[in-house]
Amino acid sequence: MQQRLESSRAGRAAISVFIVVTIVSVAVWNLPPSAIKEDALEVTAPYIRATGLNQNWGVFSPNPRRHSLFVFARVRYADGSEEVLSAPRGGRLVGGYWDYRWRKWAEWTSMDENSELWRPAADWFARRARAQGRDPVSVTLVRRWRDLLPPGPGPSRGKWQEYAFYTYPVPGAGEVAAR
Amino acid sequence: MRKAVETWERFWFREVESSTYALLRVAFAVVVLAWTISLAPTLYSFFGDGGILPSHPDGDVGSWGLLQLDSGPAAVTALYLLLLVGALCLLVGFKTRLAAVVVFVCLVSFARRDPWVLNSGDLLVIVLSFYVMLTPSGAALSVDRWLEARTRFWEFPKRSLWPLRLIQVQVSLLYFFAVWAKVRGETWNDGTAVSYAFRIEDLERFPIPAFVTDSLLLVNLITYGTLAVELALAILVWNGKLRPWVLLLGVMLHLGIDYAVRVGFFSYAALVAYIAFLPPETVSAWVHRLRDRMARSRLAWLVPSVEPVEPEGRP
Repeated sequence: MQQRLESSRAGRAAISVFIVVTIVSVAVWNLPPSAIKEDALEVTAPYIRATGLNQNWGVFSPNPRRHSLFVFARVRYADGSEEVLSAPRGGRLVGGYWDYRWRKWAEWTSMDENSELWRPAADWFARRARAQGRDPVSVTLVRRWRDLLPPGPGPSRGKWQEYAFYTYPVPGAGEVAAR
Repeated sequence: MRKAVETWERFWFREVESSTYALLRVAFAVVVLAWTISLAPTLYSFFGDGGILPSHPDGDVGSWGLLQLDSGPAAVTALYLLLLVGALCLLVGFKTRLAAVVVFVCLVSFARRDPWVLNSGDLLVIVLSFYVMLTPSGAALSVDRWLEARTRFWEFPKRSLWPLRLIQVQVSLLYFFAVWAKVRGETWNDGTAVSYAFRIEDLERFPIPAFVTDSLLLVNLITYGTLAVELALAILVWNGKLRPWVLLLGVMLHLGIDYAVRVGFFSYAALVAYIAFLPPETVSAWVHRLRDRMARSRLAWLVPSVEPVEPEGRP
């Protein structure tokens, strides 16, 4: 069918329209923020989303992140003890091909504008603790970071800092102990 | 006007041997298979309703995904297996077009279910899946070809160039906008960006020695070199003489990134996209040379043997 389309003049014209629409839409999607982009996106964004072409090519741009960042959960149990749970991390060789998604998740989750991710994340850590037969009463999400200092003489990194950004009282806490 | 139309037709619709399409299909399928296997350890944590995002996020206009209907363990498992089968069929070229559609639908569905766990590499795999769906990638070196014209298995029937061109333009745009986005940042302008990128501990893969990341001279060279290579990949890649060298620099850039940073499949997806720039006659010659070598080796049983026939299209 594709060959039949390509062999006719009308078919090639239709494909040409498709090509132009696709290239223009991809270009508009990747323009820097501007009024013309906003206006054009109203028309092209649905097409870009439907085709899965909603890629942004800004890897490490406009600047790479200038801090290292980890997100972990501090879980408090009914017996008063505490445990730190963190996202899984793989080895350097193979692990790098699956655990990068956890790094991406930590990056997004640590941002204040993504607070809708916090409760589900804390709940997931609580369920992980429960799966080990323990009885979590609260989960606190903590971001741990340190700044990367400009290259050159002197230290290359700042001190580690921590900030507890969300505490989740686990629903039904104490039930395991009661049983 | 007529000349412009002719130029347009020649640029987009010239017919070429389908060998580059076949190589692109196989390489892309290998990346998708690896990508799919890499999802296994975190499948339900990321995409199931018992994971870190229990419900499907609301999509904007045009957004869609099969896991919107159900993201229970059975649905996630079914989609995963479908993707695995689709990637395998794409690899061997069985029901190739259908397999490419299945791969595209499954990839988009996973991406829409939890967009917070995907990086640029994952999105590039999805972008490529859209274009691979448009290519006649089962026309050669495929089970489809074997079933359709067994005696002509080692030939590469000619097909229109436009899907390959579209991938080439996409690659060019990718680097053009990457450079545009970077030159707006101060660290790319003062030549220190690469030092920061290599020192992000949560993204670090294999270490880069401190004498590199701390040396202003070296990080300036690598940072500006990265911008130069990306700009070349956007523009100079269209020059036939410079293309092999530009692509070689691109391969070195991406292997370097893959060594130093946990970027997942970003580098490999980019390298697959480079295949679109390989001249079909060159790829045909490579394939025939490989076939002849294999036929003389202990792997001869792997080479489908066919009676020699006149090439397709000749009387």
